Amino acid sequence: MANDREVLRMIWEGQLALCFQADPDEIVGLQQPENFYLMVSRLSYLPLVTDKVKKYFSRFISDSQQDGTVWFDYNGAPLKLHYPIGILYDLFQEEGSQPWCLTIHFSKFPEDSLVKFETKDLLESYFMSCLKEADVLKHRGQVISSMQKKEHNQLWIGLVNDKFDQFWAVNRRLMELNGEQECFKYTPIRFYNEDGTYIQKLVSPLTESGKKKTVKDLLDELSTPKRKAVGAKTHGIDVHSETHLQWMSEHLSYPDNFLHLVIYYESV
Amino acid sequence: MSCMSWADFCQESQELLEMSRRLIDTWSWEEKTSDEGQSYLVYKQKLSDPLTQDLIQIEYNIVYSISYQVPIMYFQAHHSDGKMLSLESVWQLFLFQKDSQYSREDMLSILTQMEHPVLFKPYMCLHPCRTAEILEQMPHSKNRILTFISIMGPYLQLNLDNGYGLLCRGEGEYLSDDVKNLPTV
Repeated sequence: MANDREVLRMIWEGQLALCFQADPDEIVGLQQPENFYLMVSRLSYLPLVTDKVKKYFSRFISDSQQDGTVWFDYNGAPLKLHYPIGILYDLFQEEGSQPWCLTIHFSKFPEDSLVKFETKDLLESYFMSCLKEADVLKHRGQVISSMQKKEHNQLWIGLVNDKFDQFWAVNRRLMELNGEQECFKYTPIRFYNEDGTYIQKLVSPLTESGKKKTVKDLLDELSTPKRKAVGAKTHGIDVHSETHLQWMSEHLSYPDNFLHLVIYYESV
Repeated sequence: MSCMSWADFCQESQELLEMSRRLIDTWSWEEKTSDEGQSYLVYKQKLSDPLTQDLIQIEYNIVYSISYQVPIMYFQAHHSDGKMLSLESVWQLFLFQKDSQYSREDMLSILTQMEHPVLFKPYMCLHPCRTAEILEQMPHSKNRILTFISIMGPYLQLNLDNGYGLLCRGEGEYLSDDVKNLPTV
């Protein structure tokens, strides 16, 4: 079970300073609105934290340009609305400088490249499907399916309202080990490439000889004769190579119960 | 759990493709890389929207789910003017049009818009959480992909020709080629 509570708390409290600017092509009138600044949780999703931003800019945008669902870009690249904000930042803001400047758009939603969440319950449904998938990997899905609907809701509401205790009261059960188990069956994990795509694999938290797998073991597994995996980053942290994968899964997973790691490669 | 390995998925897909060729159907195989989960089956068809008569183009992808170790159905639907159908319109079109007892909550527990795990583009996805259970109830299935499509497909107006069933049972062979090659006494 997750017992380094201070670590959980620090991860939960990780924030980013964002700066939003308008798309000049969408502005009516001569005056450009001022930028909008916001501190957001790394663990949250853009559609959950941008209601105020949307309301502020909508006064400057003509009605004909407002077709309902806003989206954001950084340096021209549309940002996935279903990736936690912390991953977007770790992927695209390489220098790690803040505030991170994004442009908000009210029209021309890029439906070929972004999943569209017209309402928050669509994002909730996506989030719940990630939790289920993670539990299938960890406990063959037995924990999440034994929970009641109101406990599922509590996870989502805890995230939306940024309530650590509310979220962890339920999430701790998802992070527990069954009976005598020393580790999860598989580690829910996504490996991000620098282009923003990711791969999933079945990753056991143990090595073939039954020892706890470390980040170094993981990087070796991801290396090919052509390219060597040399580092893994999550929550803005370059994870130490001796860190156990099982510990990471319990403490460094995002609320969707997946570890999201940006992997750095060097060509051999 | 009735798990399917990646090798099983590839092999049974190839069998399905062979049946499709013999039945002059149009299933195809897309291979991005040879890595696990990075190839999938594709089928396209056009449907007429019963309300607007608009011709809707649908692309179905049967992808391998690494986590669930079962096939998983992704699809995308476009209007004739190229616009993508929203989750609600798809729900109206396919699923429980006449059955008003299905709520929005039901819809969200069955269908989700997700990112295609190979293409990284938005697709609709039928939740895979019960697929293993369903396949488990068909222990004698000779081709689990065919079984999967036959069970899930009709919900999405993807109806396979009966010929697949015959071929899969071996009767198709008997009816077509083998009849001609039977030795004469």
